[in-house]
Amino acid sequence: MDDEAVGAKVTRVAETKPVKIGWKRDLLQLAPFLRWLVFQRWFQFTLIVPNLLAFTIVILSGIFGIPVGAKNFSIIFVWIVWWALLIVVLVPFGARVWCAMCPIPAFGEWLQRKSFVSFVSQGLGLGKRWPRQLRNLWLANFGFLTIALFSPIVTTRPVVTGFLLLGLMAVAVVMHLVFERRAFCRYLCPVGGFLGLYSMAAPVELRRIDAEVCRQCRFKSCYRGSTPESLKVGGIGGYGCPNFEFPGGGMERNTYCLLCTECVKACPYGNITINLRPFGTDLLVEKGWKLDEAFKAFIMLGSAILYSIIMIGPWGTLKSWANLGGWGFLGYAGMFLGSILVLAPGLHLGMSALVRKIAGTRSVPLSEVFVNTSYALVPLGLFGWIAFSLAFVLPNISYAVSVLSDPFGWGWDLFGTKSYPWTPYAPGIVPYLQVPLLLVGLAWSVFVGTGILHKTFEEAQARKASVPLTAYLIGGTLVFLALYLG
Amino acid sequence: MQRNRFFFIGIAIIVLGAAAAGFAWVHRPAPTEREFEITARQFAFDPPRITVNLGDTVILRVRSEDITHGVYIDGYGIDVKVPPQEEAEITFVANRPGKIRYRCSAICGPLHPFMVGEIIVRPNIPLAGSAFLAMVVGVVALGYAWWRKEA
Amino acid sequence: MRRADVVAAIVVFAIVVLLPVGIFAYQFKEKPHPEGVREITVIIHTFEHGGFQPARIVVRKGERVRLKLMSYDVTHSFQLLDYDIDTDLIFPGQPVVVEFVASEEGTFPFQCNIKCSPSHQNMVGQLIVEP
Ligand SMILES: [Cu+2]
Ligand SMILES: [Cu+2]
Repeated sequence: MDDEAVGAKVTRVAETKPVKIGWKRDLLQLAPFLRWLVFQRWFQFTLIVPNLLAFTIVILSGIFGIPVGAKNFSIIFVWIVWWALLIVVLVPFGARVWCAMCPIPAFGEWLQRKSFVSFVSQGLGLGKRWPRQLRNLWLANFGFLTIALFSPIVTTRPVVTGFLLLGLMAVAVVMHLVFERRAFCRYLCPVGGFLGLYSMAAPVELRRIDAEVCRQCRFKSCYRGSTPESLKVGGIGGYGCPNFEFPGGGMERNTYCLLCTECVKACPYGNITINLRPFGTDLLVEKGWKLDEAFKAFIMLGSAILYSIIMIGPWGTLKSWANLGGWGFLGYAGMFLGSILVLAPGLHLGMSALVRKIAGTRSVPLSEVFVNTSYALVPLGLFGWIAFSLAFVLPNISYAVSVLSDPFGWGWDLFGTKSYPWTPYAPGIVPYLQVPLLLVGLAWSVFVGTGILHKTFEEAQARKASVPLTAYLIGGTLVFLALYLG
Repeated sequence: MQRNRFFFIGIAIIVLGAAAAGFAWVHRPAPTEREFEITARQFAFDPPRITVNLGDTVILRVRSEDITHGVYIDGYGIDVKVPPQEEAEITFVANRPGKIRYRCSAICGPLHPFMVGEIIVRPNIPLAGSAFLAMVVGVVALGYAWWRKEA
Repeated sequence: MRRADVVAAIVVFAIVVLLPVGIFAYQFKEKPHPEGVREITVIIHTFEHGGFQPARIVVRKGERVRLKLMSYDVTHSFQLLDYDIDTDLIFPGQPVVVEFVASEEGTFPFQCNIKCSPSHQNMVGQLIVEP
């Protein structure tokens, strides 16, 4: 980006006041070891290595291993182990830390930088700018929906999983060589979109420390990368934000922060850190509220409900349709896409209209109510996903034990656990784990919802408006409960 | 004043709910023996959902219409294989209310992990209880949010 | 700092080149087997997806034959009645090994004895014992 653009970004940021909610603690001060780690150039590389190792085995076992999903490393370790880790641990507690260790864009980024570890100022590739019209989540939304639509195939066929991941890696390499930075991760990656949405709920954040330092800073290394001049002042040398963020310019949400910590290394003043903070802080940051993210919220909540019906429900016809069962697949696709793209936004629109009516004001446009209140669905959606995931992870994760010894289904027995039998964990108890999760999600969504309404309407209006919004959120929770317990 | 009214309505709802639950519990049907014919096929059990009463002795006669399947009943420690042309008979006492999931335990194709059937044991106290709880949690959360905005 | 990049390059090379090569070498290397034992892996799919592979097993008379039977999709079984072999269910991911001495010359049919698909009855193969 040229100086002018950076300048424009700085001015825009200077006009908005930083949002301060609750307490914050500088994690890098609390944990000196972590601070030391983050300031090593090899930090991100070592995060990627174990995942690259697993990824390689996933590709090989997916393409060459036994075609039975339950006995193949690719299916079990991607869709059960990785997924469970991601949705139960990494996202709710670590924001987008997965993106820092993801092997999919690794080769692209290494090529683009012409370096694995060290900071090199001359890279490779065309470095084109990403088209302006596509600087949003719509492509990622589309990609996610496509994979989500075929997920009954993708998550059960090792070959499909293998080629899908290999394909994503190939696309990422091309994107890195054609466009600047990690355009793939920001605008295309089907996983990145929802990680961004739910990472707003996490209790960690990467932020600048002192806004004044950033205002005075003439290097903007966190966005542009270290330069010889900035290195003379400080910093150990870091690339400009790979995901087009500008931490020093007042990045206030986790949504697009990959936690790669390049900016921490680049900042000449040591002015960027990682904070511990209350859960969900970013959901109330007004300036990020956009329609593309709102749709991500519907897509995620909608697909959690649909999968609960299709995948773990007892209805065989739906499963055959979803399993590419002839013309029935069209019926399934219609139901899937219709619910997510029409029914869910339609319901939300109806609710928004009601909220606006009860608030008794015409000064706030309906579209604004629609977008803003969709962020209230984030906690419920996240916890709905965790609850849904438990229902297939706990019964099937025991396959991981046998697959570890025989990743390809070729009859190996590396660790002597090959014959470990299929053992559903916590059988019959899963619903009692799902209920508290959903209730926490609901309560949290109600808090966030009322907070959002207070930022959208005036005091008295917001209070009235929170009644229909709460009813709506309770309704959503009841749908999950009916599916899991009824 | 308004807070008092809310409080009163809340108490009334809880009392009414408890009364309804108590009535249903007292008038619950006496346990009997129930038999079901269940057909297993890729990737479902038919009928997908059966309903019994708490305390009933449940007999499932499972036949496979195509290939080898199995029946693993969550929380009851039952696991039976169902080869084609054979009938598997499973007997157990439904001694916990709510939904029981049972699942195929013999890998039978791609969607095998999602081959599940459901037995609803009435009265479905977990469903009613958690639905009630959800409403309470929602309302309490809202009340708390309001109270905090005031404070 | 370039030393770190060299180390990193070696690590990446080991993961994406040496590891796959090692895996295939380990799987497909000549396995030493006891004198006179013929070890044959039979991969079993449903008939629609290929049935027994190989469906034609050729051995020498007098040889000790060890068949490793692996299902690659659903539950199957293996019957070679002329040699008194009738396995239990063969579940995917749980290979079953049978051993016998090919004492009799001739062509012997084997089949899957569990209904594994609509065209299950076609799931047959031949053991050919040559003199
Ligand atoms: Cu089955
Ligand atoms: Cu067969």
